[in-house]
This record gives sequence, C-alpha cells and structure tokens, in this order.
Amino acid sequence: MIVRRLLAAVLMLFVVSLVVFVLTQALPGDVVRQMLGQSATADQVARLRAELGLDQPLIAQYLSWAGDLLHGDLGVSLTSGEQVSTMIGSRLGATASLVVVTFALMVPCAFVLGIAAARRPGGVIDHVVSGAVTVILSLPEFVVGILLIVLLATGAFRILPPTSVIPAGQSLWQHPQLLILPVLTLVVTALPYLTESVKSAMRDELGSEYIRWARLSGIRESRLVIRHALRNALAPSLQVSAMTLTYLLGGTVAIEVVFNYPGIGSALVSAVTDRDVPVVQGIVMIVAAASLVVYVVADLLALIVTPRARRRAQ
Amino acid sequence: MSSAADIAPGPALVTIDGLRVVVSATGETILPSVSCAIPAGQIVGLAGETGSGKSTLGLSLLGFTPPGLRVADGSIEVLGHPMLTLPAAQLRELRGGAVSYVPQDPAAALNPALRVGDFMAEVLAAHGVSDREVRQERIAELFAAVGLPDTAGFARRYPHELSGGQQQRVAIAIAFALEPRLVVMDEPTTGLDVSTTLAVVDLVRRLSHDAGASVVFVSHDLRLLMTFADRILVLLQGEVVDDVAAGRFADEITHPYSRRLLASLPRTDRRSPRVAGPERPAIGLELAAVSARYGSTVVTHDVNLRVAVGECVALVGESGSGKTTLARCVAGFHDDYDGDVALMDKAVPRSLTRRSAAERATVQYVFQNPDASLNPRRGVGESVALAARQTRGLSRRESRAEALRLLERVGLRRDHLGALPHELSGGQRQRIALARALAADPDVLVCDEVTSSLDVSVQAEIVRLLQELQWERGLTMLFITHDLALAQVIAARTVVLLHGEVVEQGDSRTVLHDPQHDYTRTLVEAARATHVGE
Amino acid sequence: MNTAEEIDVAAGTTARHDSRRTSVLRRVARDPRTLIGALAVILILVVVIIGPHLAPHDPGDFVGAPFAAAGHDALLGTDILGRDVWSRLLAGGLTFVVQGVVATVAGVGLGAVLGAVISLLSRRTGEFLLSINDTFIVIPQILVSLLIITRFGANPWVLVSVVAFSHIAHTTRVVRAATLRVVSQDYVRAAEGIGMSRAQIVAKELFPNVLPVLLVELGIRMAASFVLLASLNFLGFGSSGMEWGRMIEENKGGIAVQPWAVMAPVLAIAILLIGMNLVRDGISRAVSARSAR
Repeated sequence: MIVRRLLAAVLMLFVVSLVVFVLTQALPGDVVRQMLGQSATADQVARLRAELGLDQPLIAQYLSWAGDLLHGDLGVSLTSGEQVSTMIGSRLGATASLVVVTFALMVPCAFVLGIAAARRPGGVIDHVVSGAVTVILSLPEFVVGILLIVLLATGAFRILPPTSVIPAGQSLWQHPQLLILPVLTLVVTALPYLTESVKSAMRDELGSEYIRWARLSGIRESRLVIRHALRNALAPSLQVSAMTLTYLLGGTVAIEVVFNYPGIGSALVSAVTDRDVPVVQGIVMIVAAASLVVYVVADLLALIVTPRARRRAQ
Repeated sequence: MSSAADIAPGPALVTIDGLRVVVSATGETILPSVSCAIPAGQIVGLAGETGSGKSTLGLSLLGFTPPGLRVADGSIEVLGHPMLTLPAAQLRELRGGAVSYVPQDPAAALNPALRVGDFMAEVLAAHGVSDREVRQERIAELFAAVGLPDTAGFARRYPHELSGGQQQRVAIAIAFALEPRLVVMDEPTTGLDVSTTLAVVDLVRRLSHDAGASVVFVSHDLRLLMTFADRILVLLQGEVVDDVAAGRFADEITHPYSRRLLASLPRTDRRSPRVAGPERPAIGLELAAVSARYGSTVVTHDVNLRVAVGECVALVGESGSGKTTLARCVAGFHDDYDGDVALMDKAVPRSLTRRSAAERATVQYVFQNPDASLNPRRGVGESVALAARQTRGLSRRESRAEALRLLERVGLRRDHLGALPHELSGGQRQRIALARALAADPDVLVCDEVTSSLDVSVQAEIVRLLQELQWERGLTMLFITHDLALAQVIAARTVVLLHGEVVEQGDSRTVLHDPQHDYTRTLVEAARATHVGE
Repeated sequence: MNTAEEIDVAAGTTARHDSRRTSVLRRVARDPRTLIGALAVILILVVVIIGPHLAPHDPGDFVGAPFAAAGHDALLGTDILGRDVWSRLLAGGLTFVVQGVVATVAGVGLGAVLGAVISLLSRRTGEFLLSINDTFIVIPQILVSLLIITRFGANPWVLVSVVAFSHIAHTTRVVRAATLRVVSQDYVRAAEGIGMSRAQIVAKELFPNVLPVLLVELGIRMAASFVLLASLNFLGFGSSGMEWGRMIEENKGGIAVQPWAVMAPVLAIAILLIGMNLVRDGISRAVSARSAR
C-alpha cells in the first residue's frame, strides 16, 4: 500500500516532467524564434538551437534534460546567463520562509477555531468561520493582498511597509517586518478554508454514534472532543492541510508580485514574461515536486492515524 | 421463558410522568405525554415502528435528548434521581454506571480509532476504577462473561477487526461493566443474523438476571420481545397504547394497533401456500450446476434448483450465503458463473446484454431496497409506464393506462402517478417497484429480501400482496430471504443455502418441522424461538 | 389489504409534488443572503455589458496628469498614464467575463466527457488514468498556466485554453465519482432488466442523475475561472491590456497617492466573486433543505 503510493508519486512526478518538457520544448512551432523574437537572424537562431540541444531527436532531448534535472543541473538562464540553480537557490529560501511561517501560524489556528466552531454549531465562531469562507474563499490572493495594503500600509492605518523589497546584500531575517504583510495575506486567504474543513470533519465526528455512546457511558466532554472525535477527524484534516500547503505554494506567485517579494514566484513571473524557458522549467519542476512530496507525506500521515487503513496497508 | 409471574415486581426503578418531547425548531410533537413505571429487575420491551418515538423514550431514561429535540414537559425519575434536572457531573456518573446504554449499531457506535479494550478501560476509569491492573482484570472477566476471548490480544483489537456479533457483545460487556441497575438497549439486534440475535438475547437475559438489573429493550421486532421480555409496552406515535405482560400479550392487549402488529407477524402454524399441482409440470426456472464467482472468489458451488411454473420457492440463507448472487445470475445482472440458467424451459445467455428482449421481459427482479431501485428523478407512474413500453411495445397512452391500472392493483392511487420516489413511504416505494416488475408482464419474478427494509406491519401487507399477485398471474417466483418463517408463509418449497451450497431443500413445512442439516436446525431453532403460534 | 393508512399519510405529499420544481427557487428567493449575492452579480454584469457604451472617455485617452485625484472630469481620478479610471473600469470587464465564462463551459464540458468515459473503462484502467489526472489537482494550477503562456504567449485563445485546462482534472474526478455512484444503483439494473439500450440508459438514467452534480461543479469552477484569470491578468498576462487585473497591476505603484485606480477594479472583482459565492451557497442550502424534508 505504502509502496503503491510512492510509486504513484513517482508516476506523477514523471507526468509533471513530461508535461513541462512537452509544453516548453516538444510542441511544433519554433521555441527559439519565440524566445529571441522576430528580429533574430537565422544564424542566432541556429546557434541557440544547438546550444539548447534542439537539433537532437525529441526522446534524446527529454532524456538529457531529465538526466540533468536529476543531477540538479537546471541549465543556464537565457536572460542573465547565470546557472538556474544558483539563481533559484538564493530565492528559494525566501519563498520557503514565507510558506513555512504561514503554515506554522495557520494550522494551530485552524484546529483551535475549527474545534471551537464544531463544539457550538450555530455559535459565534461557527458563523464567523462560515462567513469568512463565503467572502474570502472566493477572492484571488492578490485582491486580498491589495486590500490589506490599503488597510494597513497606505490607507486607514500606516503601520506596515507596503512592499517587501530587501536592501541589497542583506537577508530577509534582518527585516522580519517585511514578512508580516505577505504572511498575513496568505493566512487570511487560506485560513477560512482550512478552519471550515477541520470544523466539518469535527462536526461529523462529534455527531456520530460513537460519540453519543461514549457520552452515554459517562465519558467527560473534553475527552470526547480530544481523545475520541479529534482522533478520527485528524486524517481528513491532515489531508486538507496538505492541500492548503500546495495551495500556498501556488498562491505565493501572485503574493510575491504584489509585495515585490524576492522569492521564486516573482522570479517565475519575470521568467515567463522574458520567455526564459530554462528558468521557468526549473521553478515549475521544483514547486511541482514540492507539492507532490507534501501530498504523499499527508497521505502517509493519514494512513498512520487511521487504524483501519493502517491494517489494510500491512 | 421467564414471565412477569416468575419475578416479583419490585418497587418502581423508573417513573416517567407526563413526558412531552417536541422538535425544537417546529414544535412538532414526538412524545405527547408519556407516563409509565418500570419495576426493578424486569426486562421491558418497548415495541413500535419507525417514528413511534421508542428510541427517544429509551434515551430519555439516560437524561439524554437527541439534538434537535427538546423536553417540553414532564419528569423522569431513575433510582430516585430527577434525570432532567440533574447537574452534569452527577449525570455523567450515573451514565455508564448505574444506568447504561447499548447502542443500535455497534459498528457505528464503537470508535474506529480506539482499541475495544482501551474504550472499556476508559469507561471504567471514568467511573472511579483508577487502578490499571484492576481494570485489566475486570475487562478480561467481562469478556469472558459475554462469551468473548478474554485474552489481551482480543482487547487490543480495533472494532473493524470484530464480527457484528462480537461488536455487539463488546457493547453489552461495557453496559454491564459497572453493575448497572438499568440498561437501555436501543434495537441492539438490528442487522444481526437470526442465530446471532438469539445468542445475544440469551446473553442479555442471563446478565440482567445475574446482575438484578432492569433492561429496557427497544425493538421493532415484536416477536423477539414476546420470547424473552417480561413486559411489553406498545408505542404508537409517541403514546403508550398497551402495557402488558409479555406472556399474556395476545390476551391482554386492548388497542387495535397492537392487534394489528400481532396479526402482521408471520405465523409458522399457518396453512402452507399453494403447492404446484402435478397438472403443471413445466419448469419455470432452473439452475443447473451454477457456480458463481467474483473474480477468483467462488461464492456458490454447483447449485441446482428447479421451480415449476406457478410455484414459489424460497431461497433461505444468512448474509454471505450467496443467495443474492444466485438471484442476480437468474436475472442476468451477474454473468460470471459456470453452469446454466433456464427460464420457462429455455436456456438463456448469462449476460443480460446477450438476452433477447423477450428473454429480458420473462424475468423481472424486485430489489431489496426500493430507495435505490427507483430513478429518483422520474415520476413513479412514468417508471412503471416506461417498463411497459420497453418490454411490451405499448404506446405512450396505453402504457400510461397500464401504469395506472398496476398502481391501483398494488394499492396506490391515481394521484400517486406523478409523485417522485422520495415523496412516498418505503412501503409505497416497494409497491411501485413491484408494479414496475409486473409492467413487463413477466413469467418469473425474483424477489430479493423485498421486505427486509420495511416496518413489520408494512412487511405483512407486501407479503400478502405478493401472494395475491402470484396466484392471480400464475407467476413463477424465487423468494430470497433470511427468514425461515417468512419462507414458510409464502413458499411451498424452501431451499437452504450455506456458504454457497444447498444444504437442504424440500417442502417448506417439512424443512421447518423436521430439519435434517445441522445448520438448518439452528435456523429453525432461531425461527421457533422467535415465532408465535408453535 | 390494509393500505388505507399508508395512503392517508401520503395524501399530503401528493398535493405537494406539483410545486416541487418551484420550491427550491422560492426558498432561494426568500433568503436575503442569496438575494444580495444575486444583486451583486447582476450589478457587475450590467456594468460589464452596457459599461463600454456609457464610458465618458475613450479608455485609451489621456485626460489628465498621472494619478490625478478624482475630479469633475475623471470620476475616479486617473491612472498611471493619466487615463480615466472610471472609463477603463467600464470598458475592461467584458473581455474578462466573456473569457471566464467560455473557459468554464469548455473546461467543465471536457472534464465531464472525460470523467464519463473513464467511468466506463475497467476499474484498473480507470484508477491508473485517475492517478495521472490527480497530478494536475496536486500541483498548483497557476504553474501549468504559466508554462503554457511561456510557450504560446498571452493571446485570448491561449488564456481561455489555459483556464479551461485548469478545470479538467477536477471535473473529471468529480464526474467519474458521480457516474460510478449512479451506475451502481439498482435502478440502473432495473433499466437493463426491462431491456433499455446502453444509449437509453445513459440518456435517461445516468444523465439526469449526474446533472445536478455537474451543475454544482459548474458553479464552483466558474468562480475558480475568474480567480485564475484575474490572477493571470494581474501578473501581466492579459489579452486586451485593460482587464481589471491588469489595471490593478499597472497602478499598484500609485496606491498611496491614487488608491481608486487600484481599488475600483479590486472591488469590481471582489463584488462579482463574493456575489457568485453567496448565490451558490444559497442554492446548495435550498437544495439540501429540500432533500432533508
């Protein structure tokens, strides 16, 4: 069972690499001409083609590209001539900090609020959570980001910097206040959904027959919630948490652009604008692989906390 | 059988006075005004059909009102405690201790993430058994008392690793763990096989006797209550209409509803249904050496079965015996089998898709659950009319007239024609399903547990309707059931299936009165013990 | 036979079933939240459709200094190049809404067909294809979109295809699950039993019972379309150069001086999406209230 899931993940990673490759290199039409623009000379085109290995057969191209990828060689940026891995490497940390800090803040909040809302259906917390889901879940991250800038940086309150530009030669951690708005934006966009998921998982469990019976057997309410209900709500909640994490990975792209945040998301957008194919390939592969890892880990965690599934897996 | 006379009724353990329960949102009444008393040391059956409020009444004895409901008036006193006004801490102490509960469906009521032993230990700990060793000992003792293995390995199992009967025994062990004075059991045998039900009931009787506890046994199964309860309370729309000694139930009941319930029970002393006469030897349905498979799992082994034209044969077995698979082979829904199926003396292809239109119309199938067998988005009249059009090539107008005729024949009215399935009751839906089967004008009718999802009184009506229709139309019928008594009522012959093999077959009366196979004997004992009129 | 009682019980329900088709609508109309949502969506649609004819200026004209405050000549002030924000707001919604709707219908349609086809294949094959399909659910949609845009540029067809593509995986999964659930129901067996053909069963038994699921999916995906499309526009990938998302991106730098250049399109997008969400929630509440009866 576990082996099967890992195999499925490897298959998915293969599919991603195939999709990335096919979409950027293998389709009819001349990528190079697209990259260089219409004014390029035939000579320039031929040179770049050879440089990129585009004169080789497709399968050979894919194998050499995927082989390099496995060695951590992501190629050379077309615009800056820098190694893609060093270029991404310096920004990866910034994006990872953003996502990890957000996630670490959000998950405990979601569980506390979700459980509180589930314990009092129709109560204040319940209504606030459902309302937040209706309003915020429908908005793109960048809209939330702009609204927060207007609220906290340029408009009503001017307490936070509206952009997260880091002075040259300094690290993000020397300016932790620059993280506040991007993190807040991501938390505001993703928290309602995660909380709602925890809430509904908990409500299903709290309304179940086994909780009623445990209650009628004289077990304390606090134990009913933590030891009995949460144990069963954990598996679905973990899976949604993982989904939220992959959602954050996608959401950072727009957020980084909103705040001029120096992560791989904003790098990806400039690379797409400049048609810098190796950089786009590299970033997409890294983020996709990270998403797959998160997905598999969540799956395995869910397996571990569900005795029934665990037994079946053995 | 113990009767009220055997045990001197003690002082009242429970007194309910003018209990009124309503739906909080709408004010709709669930229990109008119930007053009754339960003496100590008795087994009291609470009988009633779906919606009679019997579970609500049962739960109220634990001071529990289901979410969405509200106690509007009245009082409940258990062991001198006012259950409706008791402080939470005291209520918690009583629950699971002096007043305990056995849930309806242990598969749903046992926490899937907790080992059964851990849950038992937790209940013991919640009631002051703080020493770990003592708890372990007590758990082993309890498991032994309910006939479960008292090993540590068993206590470490998760609920899904137990059978349905074992799960229910665990539930009963927990209910009797702390010397209860009152045990409320909410339909504890629903979903269990007949033989398991009997064993569970036996256990309850023994434990309650040993512990001197009163048991309130909520059940829709009147005949089961009559075999082992001391008193029976009959509930109709939230009102106790009869409160009589179980042993004299038939004589003491006064309310017409109770009489009707009693009359609905299949009686094992009834005259047998029509036997196919020698003048009609033609074969309506024949299975020859049918071995059905699901992938590599073989579920039936060389089953041979013949049903004469116009005859009804019952196929009896417990869940997992392969009886439904056989029925699906006949209907062509299951085509993975060796052997042959013949209908009206003609061999038919295995798969439905290979059968001709006439062959398809020859056999019709009535499903166990009418909720799933009718298209939820089609008017029920149209469902019947469609079947008539498809199988008999009737015009739209003719088929509509035919649908109306059939609807009326199965006991529905003209204005039900346009209703959607969810707007009808379960019994009405099963009537529609029957009408749809008849619309094809079949020679052979396969009925798969058609009454098992219905209330008792509705069950009896459907069985009566089936008997009439079979007689009117000379239908060849294969009646699948887990209930030997029901088989005897409707079928001339009974075939008993165990693990996919026919272990006994013959005249229904003979099978019931003189069973040959050990397995049939246990089934018969179960049926005898739980049936009236022997 | 003793059916009189049972029929009496049902007498009330038969009188009701004539009105069943209107009951959901009526419940929706009585719910204030749903009404507010519907009004919001209608308001935006009106702006989008007749807006281009009402614009006081040509959206490309320079009417004043860059980031000028609201005045009599420019209702919401001017943008980074000195163009009228109000005129650009009125003109910029049509492409956005049309592209979103077309992409949703195309994506959900394709996904529905794929889901239905996969559900008819053998279990093994179906599950294999589904795990490939799931890849596109797991990795963030915006990555695939940006990948395609890198290759083909941001013309209208590419944008619509990219957004349509983002729905396929999800819809495929949902429709396959719904179809399998319906196929396993006994009423489909009953339909086979009376000799209905494959095509008839698909049209008369499967389709009507999968349709509600598909409509719910359409609602969810419609909102997702606008979110993705607005994000892409905001990142600088638009086809007309004056979508709302693009306006936000262009004028973001002047947010402290001339917030309306950014807030106007932000609010337009927010009102549309929140309105859609309110309507969808209202409908699902009404439907579940009916089935709970």
